[in-house]
Amino acid sequence: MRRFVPVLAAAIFTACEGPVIPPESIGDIYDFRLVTTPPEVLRWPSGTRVRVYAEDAAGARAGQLSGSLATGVVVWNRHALYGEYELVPVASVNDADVLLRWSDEPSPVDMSECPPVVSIAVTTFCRADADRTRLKVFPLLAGGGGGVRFVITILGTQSGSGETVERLVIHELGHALGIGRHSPHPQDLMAEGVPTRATLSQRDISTVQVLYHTRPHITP
Amino acid sequence: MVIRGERELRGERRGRDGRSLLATAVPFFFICLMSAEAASAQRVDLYARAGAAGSSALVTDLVATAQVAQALGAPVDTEVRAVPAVGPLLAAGVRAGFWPTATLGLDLSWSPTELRAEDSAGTRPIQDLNVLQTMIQAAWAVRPAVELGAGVGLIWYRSDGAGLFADGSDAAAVLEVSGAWTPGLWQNRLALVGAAQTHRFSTPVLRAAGGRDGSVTRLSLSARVRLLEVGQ
Repeated sequence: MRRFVPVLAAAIFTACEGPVIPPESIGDIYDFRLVTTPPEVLRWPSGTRVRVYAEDAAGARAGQLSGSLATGVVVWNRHALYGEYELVPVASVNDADVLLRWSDEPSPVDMSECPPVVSIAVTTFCRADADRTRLKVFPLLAGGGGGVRFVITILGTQSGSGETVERLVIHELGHALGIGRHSPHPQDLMAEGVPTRATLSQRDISTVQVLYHTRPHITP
Repeated sequence: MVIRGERELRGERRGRDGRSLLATAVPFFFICLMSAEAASAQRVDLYARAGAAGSSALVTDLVATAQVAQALGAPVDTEVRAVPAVGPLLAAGVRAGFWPTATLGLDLSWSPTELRAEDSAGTRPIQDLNVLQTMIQAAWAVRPAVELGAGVGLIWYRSDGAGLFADGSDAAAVLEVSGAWTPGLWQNRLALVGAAQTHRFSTPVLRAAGGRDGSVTRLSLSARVRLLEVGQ
C-alpha cells in the first residue's frame, strides 16, 4: 500500500494537458481597426469598467434607452471571459465614460468641437489635441469635469420600434468598446445598417476577443 | 468539442456493471466508518483545518495566432490564462481508526479565492470564486509522526454568473495524495498537512467557446487541529 501512494503522487504531477481553448476555435474575425492611415487599434485598457449613462426622455420614449442599455450590457459582458472589459450602467452623466442619447433631445455634453454625423445611430469620439493616443473628453454643459469620451446618438425617429432601438444600441456599444469598422457580413451584429440580430454572432465574439488581446494605439 | 471527461465531471462515472461509482463509494465509506470502531475499537477524531490552497490554470485560451497578429500589424496576445489566486482554505472532517496504523476520513473544505487573468497586459481580477470539496480519505502512519494518505471526492467551483461561469460549472471527481506531520505539540492535537490533487475542469461556457476540458492540479498546505476524540 505504501508503494501505491508515491505512484499516485507521480501520476498527479505528470497529469495530462490542462483545459484549453485551442486556436481552431478563434474562427473568422473582421477588421476592427479604425479607418486611419495606417489603421490603428482603439480600445479601453484591459480590465476597464466602461461606465455608460443613458439620457432617457419623457413620454412614450421613457426608459427605452436605459432598457436597451441594460440588454446591451448583458450581451457584451457575457463574452468578456477574462475580465477584459465590463460595461456598467451608471445613474449620472458625471460618472460616465459613454453617453447614450436621442438625437432630438438636448445633450448634457458640449459636442460643438466633435459633432455627430447624421445617421440612424452613430458613435462619436475625437482624438485629444494634446495627446493623439487618447480621446477628447466632452465637457459637461452643466460644468464640472466629467469623463465622457464616446457619445452614442440614436436618431429620434427610430423610437417607434423598441426592437430596432435595442439592436442599434447594442451595435453602437460595440463601437464604444473599440470595434472601429463594420462587419462585411450582413448577419453579424456589427454589420452596417440596422442589425438583423440582437446578439453577437460567432464572428462578432471572435472579433471583440481578438480586439481586447491586441495592443492598442489609442486608449480612451 | 468536449472530447472526454464530461460524464465524469457530472459525477456519473460508472463501473462495468453500469452502477455509479459514487453510488458505490459513498455507502462503502460509511460501512467502513461504522465497522472501524466495532472491529478494531480505534478512536474517532473530529478536526478542523485551516491553511492555503493554490491551483494551476483553469483555462488556457489561445486567443489569437501569429497569422492574426501579422494580418493586423500589431502585437496580439496568443494566450490568456485564467488562474485562481492562492487563497485561504477552511475545512472540517472526521477520521476513524481503520487498522492499527490506518485511518479513514471524510473531509469538507471551502476555499474562497479570486479568479485572475494573465496575459500581456498583466494580471487582473476576473471574479470571485468559491471552491467547495468533499473528500473520502485514507491515511497510513509510515512513521510515528508521519502519515501518507490518498483520497477521492468531488469538487465544485461556485461563482457569480459571469465569464467562464456564466452558465454554471460542473462538479468534478478529484484524486488526492497527502502527507501529514505531527510535530508533537499540544498533546499531538496539531498536524501539518500538505495535499496535491488533480481533477478535470470544464464549464458550459468553456465548451461553447470550443474548449476542451483538461486536468487541473491543486496544492494545499494546512494546519489540522483535533477538536474531539472518541474511543481509545
